[in-house]
Amino acid sequence: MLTRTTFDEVADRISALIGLPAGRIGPDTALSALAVDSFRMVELVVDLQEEFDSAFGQAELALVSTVGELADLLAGESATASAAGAPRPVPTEAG
Amino acid sequence: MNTPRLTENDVWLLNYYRLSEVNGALFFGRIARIVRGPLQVDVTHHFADEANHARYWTDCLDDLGHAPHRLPSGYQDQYLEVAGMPANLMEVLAITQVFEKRVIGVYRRHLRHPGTHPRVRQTIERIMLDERRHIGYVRTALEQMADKYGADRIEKAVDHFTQADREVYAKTIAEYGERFAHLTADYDLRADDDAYDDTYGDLDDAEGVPRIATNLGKGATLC
Repeated sequence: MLTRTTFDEVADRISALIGLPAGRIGPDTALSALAVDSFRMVELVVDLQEEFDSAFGQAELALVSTVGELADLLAGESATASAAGAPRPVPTEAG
Repeated sequence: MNTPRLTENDVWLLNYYRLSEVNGALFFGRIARIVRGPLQVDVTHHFADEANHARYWTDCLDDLGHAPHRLPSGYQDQYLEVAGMPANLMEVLAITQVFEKRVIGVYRRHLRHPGTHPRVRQTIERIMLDERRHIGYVRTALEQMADKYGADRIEKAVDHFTQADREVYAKTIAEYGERFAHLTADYDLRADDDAYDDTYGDLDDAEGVPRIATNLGKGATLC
């Protein structure tokens, strides 16, 4: 379940990276609307994963289209990672 | 000995290499900004190497009397389109491993072409020393990521990007045809293997493709 804190953290980090005011980044903001090129998007997503200690791959990322969904994914993966000794889910597709 | 002259295709290809190195530097610059821990050293070094490689090609073209010129797109532009965007650091390194293998394979084939200009040869040989180091640190880093991502998942990622690379390479050869003629020429690749390995170390399998000494990323050969 997405918490306001998690979303705020994600929005703040995105804001810092791409220079878009955090107030203009909402849960329904499309990732495609962040106006970043592909290399920058890789940087953004990888940075968020490293920051939130998550490990989702291409397959999971392909299913999200908004910042809110991305934050949910990060929160979900982080919760999974923090579960004591819980193995990470292995997606069926590469990544 | 007559020094070979650059053809128009040669100049195009050197510009293609140059663009590829520029794109590599831009990509690794992005990754260097956000990578944490000990990998910061290797990734930052990698970023600097790619930028230097772009400079080597620029200098090579300049020395041979040609100004670098823009090309509409490079190899990496098609890569992300076909392979998809890497979503985590492991996938970044997996796609890097595959791409570096391709680069080494292409450069090796270029070196083997008897008509390669000495200045071009010098440039490739200089770049190849760095590429060998890149392969090494990426291999080690992927092995160390097995705890977090799982060895199977890493292998799947490498296989996925290898398949994408084959598709992109085939498209590139088909699109640019004669520009890459010397890379697809049917000459004996094994003739210089011993001499090459003495210089660059035993990185290669029989086809001249770098053999990654790990269970990760096995199996792919260049088409």
